[in-house]
Amino acid sequence: MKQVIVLINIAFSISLFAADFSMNGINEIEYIYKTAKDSLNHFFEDEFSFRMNYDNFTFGMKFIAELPAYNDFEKIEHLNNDDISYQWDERFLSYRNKNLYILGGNFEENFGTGIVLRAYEDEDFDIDTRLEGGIVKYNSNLFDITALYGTLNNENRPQKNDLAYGFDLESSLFNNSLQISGSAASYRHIHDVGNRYSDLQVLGGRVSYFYNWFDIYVEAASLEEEKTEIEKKTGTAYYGNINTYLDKYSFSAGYKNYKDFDFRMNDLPTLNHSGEPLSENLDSGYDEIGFMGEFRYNPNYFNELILNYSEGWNKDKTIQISDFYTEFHHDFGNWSLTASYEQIEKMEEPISLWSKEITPALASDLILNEKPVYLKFEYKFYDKKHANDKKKYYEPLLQADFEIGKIGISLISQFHYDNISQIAENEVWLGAEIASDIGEDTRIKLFGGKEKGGKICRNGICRYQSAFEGIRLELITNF
Amino acid sequence: MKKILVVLALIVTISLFAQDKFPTFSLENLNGQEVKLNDFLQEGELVLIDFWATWCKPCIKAMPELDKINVDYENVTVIAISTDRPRDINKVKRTIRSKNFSFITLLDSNKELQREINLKNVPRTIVINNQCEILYDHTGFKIGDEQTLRTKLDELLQPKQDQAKKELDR
Repeated sequence: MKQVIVLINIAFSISLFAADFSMNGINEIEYIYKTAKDSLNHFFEDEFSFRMNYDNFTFGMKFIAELPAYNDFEKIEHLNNDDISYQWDERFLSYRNKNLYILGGNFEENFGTGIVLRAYEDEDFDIDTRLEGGIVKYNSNLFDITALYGTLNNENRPQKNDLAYGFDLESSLFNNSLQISGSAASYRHIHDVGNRYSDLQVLGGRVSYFYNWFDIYVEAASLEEEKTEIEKKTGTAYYGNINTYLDKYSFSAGYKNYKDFDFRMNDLPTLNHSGEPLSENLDSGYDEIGFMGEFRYNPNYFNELILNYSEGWNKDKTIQISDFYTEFHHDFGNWSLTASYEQIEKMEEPISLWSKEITPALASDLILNEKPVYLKFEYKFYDKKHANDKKKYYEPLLQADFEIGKIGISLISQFHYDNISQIAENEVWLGAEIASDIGEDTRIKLFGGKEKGGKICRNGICRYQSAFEGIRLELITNF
Repeated sequence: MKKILVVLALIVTISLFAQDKFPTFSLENLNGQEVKLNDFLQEGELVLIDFWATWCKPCIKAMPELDKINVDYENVTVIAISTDRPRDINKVKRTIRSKNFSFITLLDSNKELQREINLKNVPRTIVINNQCEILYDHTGFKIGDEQTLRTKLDELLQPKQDQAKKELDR
């Protein structure tokens, strides 16, 4: 009770000065009815996130409550409807003035393209390497410096903490057209068994030059890790790109070469259009070489042609990937058409795997009866060979987004078949979403059906969405 | 649980008194140079901030419209903030520079600003005045949304235009 009175007093005191406060937040209430047999049926989730700014200070936090606790990997006999879980997903206090930024709490950060260090969260791939600690940034006309120190849960032993720290120094020359930077990072992680730690040190440098008709970027890094008292691991990473802009024509080229450069606290450029890794079975950066070339033709706002080709391979060329992508966009005034084609081919000799994925697609935006309509048709074709197992199948997708009154509707259907006569017997993803604004700050969304997940754009809004089957009702309020 | 409810009540109390303000920020541009929001806050002028990503088709569709706004409206500065991950910065450069867009492009690859404003979805378009007060906040882009945005900007700039007209009449 005493605590409650103290908090009310604090609230009252703060409100007296509230004119100097600014605040924003978002609350998402979600009700899910899951139809999967190996799951409980009813789920409630509330995600509440707010930021409070006073003068140069910002306090932020995100609170997530789930009933029952959500666990996709647990067996159904171990799940319990009454299990409630709540966690503080974000907590930080930051200070910012003209040249200085200090943050304590949990944070995301990267040095350069993320080769030397990237601490981040990616819900789509269940990656969370955010650090809990502190970060200081100082920028002046001559240089920018970043220093950080933080802990994170070990990947395989979440009850144990790993440690990361590092700094980055960036200097601009020749009227800011040339940039030279250097980074150093250290990552201490506990072994899977026992209490022994390994230290991994990474050093990196990058140079970028920016001119009115071209830009160039080069980054190199090396790592050293003491695996055991006698075993040491060393690795290198080289990455670079050049882009030229000649009136309506743009040409780009990129190169990567990673050797024994796989560790948890980085995120390497994949250097292909789809962002596809060289192999699902190898850590990115273990053994990877590749290039990418791109041509763009932009005669005006209304037309665009993109041609992109990339290849990647390991040193022995026993693992290879190629990715070709082309897109043409034309705007006809009150409607537009985008045609695209992508072909990804992969080969992994060590596991006798070969696959080809071809995706032609057509998309159009138009106005019908003064309402926006979006139509998309995609016809994905897979051809896979794994040892003696051969598979060929199709996954066509149809999407239509339109509005009735103030309600946005999105219908998506995706099929999976190797023979069209068996379309009804195979897996089908059918889903519908209706969304509407309630007042200025609240949006309600209802989804029913089955979806594959990934980066999804519906009713003009894009977000990450994990695979789902059932009914999902969301109420999102911004304040 | 009780504590959590009290904290939530505290937040609601404060929010009733708090102003709807956009945080000031300092982010890198495509050149790697630090750019501060404060440099664009001028009296009687507006700043249009658009959060986007290279993988988001509605965001890409909105860009020519934002560029036209940047050219057509003398009193509006358009800042496009990329939410792409750091490994995709080159893709951001290619997308923006190949079309020669005139607006300012900044990078928020470590989500510093996205976290401060609780950004969940893209595209999100926010219009602020020189006091950083949020005057317009919209998520999503569909064909026809550009007209709604232009109408809103005309409405927000109207008092300044009226004042200029009065001074001219005098």
